[in-house]
Amino acid sequence: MPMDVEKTARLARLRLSGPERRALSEEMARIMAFADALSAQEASGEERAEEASAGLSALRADVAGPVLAREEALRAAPARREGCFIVPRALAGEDDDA
Amino acid sequence: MHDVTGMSIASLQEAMARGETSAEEIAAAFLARIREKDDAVGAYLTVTEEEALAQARAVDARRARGLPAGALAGIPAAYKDNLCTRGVRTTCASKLLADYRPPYDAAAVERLQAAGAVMLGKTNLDEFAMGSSTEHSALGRTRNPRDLSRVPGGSSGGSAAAVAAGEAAFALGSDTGGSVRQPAALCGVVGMRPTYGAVSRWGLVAFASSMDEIGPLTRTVADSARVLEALCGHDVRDMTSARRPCGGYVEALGTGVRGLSIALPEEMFGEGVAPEVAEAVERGARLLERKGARLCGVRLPALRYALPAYYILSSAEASSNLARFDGVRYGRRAQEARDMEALYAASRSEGFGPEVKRRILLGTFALSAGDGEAYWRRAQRARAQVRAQMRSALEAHDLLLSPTAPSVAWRAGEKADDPVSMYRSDLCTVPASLAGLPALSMPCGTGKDGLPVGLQLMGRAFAEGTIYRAAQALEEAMAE
Repeated sequence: MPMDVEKTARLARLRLSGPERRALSEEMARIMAFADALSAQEASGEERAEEASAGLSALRADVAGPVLAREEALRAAPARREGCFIVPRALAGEDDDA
Repeated sequence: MHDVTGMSIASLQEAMARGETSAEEIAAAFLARIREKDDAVGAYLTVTEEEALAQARAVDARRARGLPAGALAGIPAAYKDNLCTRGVRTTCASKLLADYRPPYDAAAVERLQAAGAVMLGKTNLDEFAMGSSTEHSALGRTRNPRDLSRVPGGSSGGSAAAVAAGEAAFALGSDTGGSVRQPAALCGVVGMRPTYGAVSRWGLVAFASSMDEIGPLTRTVADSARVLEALCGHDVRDMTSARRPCGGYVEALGTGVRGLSIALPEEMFGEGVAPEVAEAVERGARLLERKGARLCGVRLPALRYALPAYYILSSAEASSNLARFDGVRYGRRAQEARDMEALYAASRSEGFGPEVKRRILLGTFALSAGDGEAYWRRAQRARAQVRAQMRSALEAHDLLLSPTAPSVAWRAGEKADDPVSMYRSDLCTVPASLAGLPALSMPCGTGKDGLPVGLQLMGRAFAEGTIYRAAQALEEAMAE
């Protein structure tokens, strides 16, 4: 089953160059052919995917605990100001100050 | 004093207890070994020399005052660079995180620090743990210490190479589809993937959250049991962390295999497995039989779908987990993006390497409405079948035994242009990952060109003790 690489890349928030798109289209075709082996399996009854962990923990108590301090959370930020992450505006405009 | 870089954890601890050496001397010896070997091997991305010596001195000071120093006190370790280490560069071998320093330690790192282990540094991996050769690292090349022209396996290739080259007494890796076990096999060391949920994933940069597991790489089976005892246990910060007691692995050692039933899945000895690998593993199985285990064959027909199912499901989870890397809060940010969408796309496209992009595309397709959904449903069904058949086999038998990797280590670059060929090297490791079961790889002789072959033992959930029991029996039998 072919993949529309351009459309999938947009969904994945990836921007591909022309050569990249061509190379990936070929590679993804081979990978999808590999994945197509799944179509040969027989469906039997109502198999459902079980939880991966047999001993899945119960949720913890809804009690506030230690959290990352704001300064620590901002330390690795590419751009920050007044205790906030700075990003371009959500919609492109003439004024680029966020 | 013998060369400490070749000694087991128990031997190092005994030598320190006898006063023959100190934690600081041991750390210094391993750091010297890294300086001597790592230009050629390339196991490390970051070496934390000052921190290691400071930690070692702290261990010596506690011992001098007669205070408890921890089960792994003074033992030098390397950590795969997808485990967060506070203030120490954690790159996931990606340009996207090349200068990232986490604000916290992973739970696994916390536990080993509490046990007194000494961190030597962070090891190389395939970018974001996606790969089977460590060739997909954006930040360096790691070579197999057994033959520098060959790959160390992946994705925990740096950790496996560090242990194999004597550049760490043990290392931590992460295993999603085989990334501890397969490099262990290719480098000739022991690699353990515990039961899903046995070790907290808090602070492990997520790849596929339903399959990621942290495990030790060591030179001996006993060392592996010691490290896993320090690592395992419930952690409230990881909601998939098993809420049950763990441990007793060291106690299980030395109890032999008499009476154990060990089954060999036919599907893991046939098509796709190199004959010399199958033969070496079968010789290992017969050694266990001579020691009193009962061997038999078993058919697990669902295993033929395990590999494509794994790649669909793990890629789908990865596409979701890697959505957080968008240039906003940490990591590489593209310059001159005029709006948010452009920022995300440019940052991610500049930061991610080709294999990561392939996996994200595959995963996004499988999760998107329309044609992709069919792959997701079929992969989930295949996973349920693999899990059911493996668990059923392990109700009738104590262990499953197979090769770890279908071949010995290949030459660097040999599979670089063929992603599917690389994926097939996970043939024998992905079933245990899909089923959430524990599995260990240990050296089992050599194959072509004298390269190490790995034998894999898979067990019931939370029955790592049985795996260690059999593995040590085989290790002793091979040494006879």
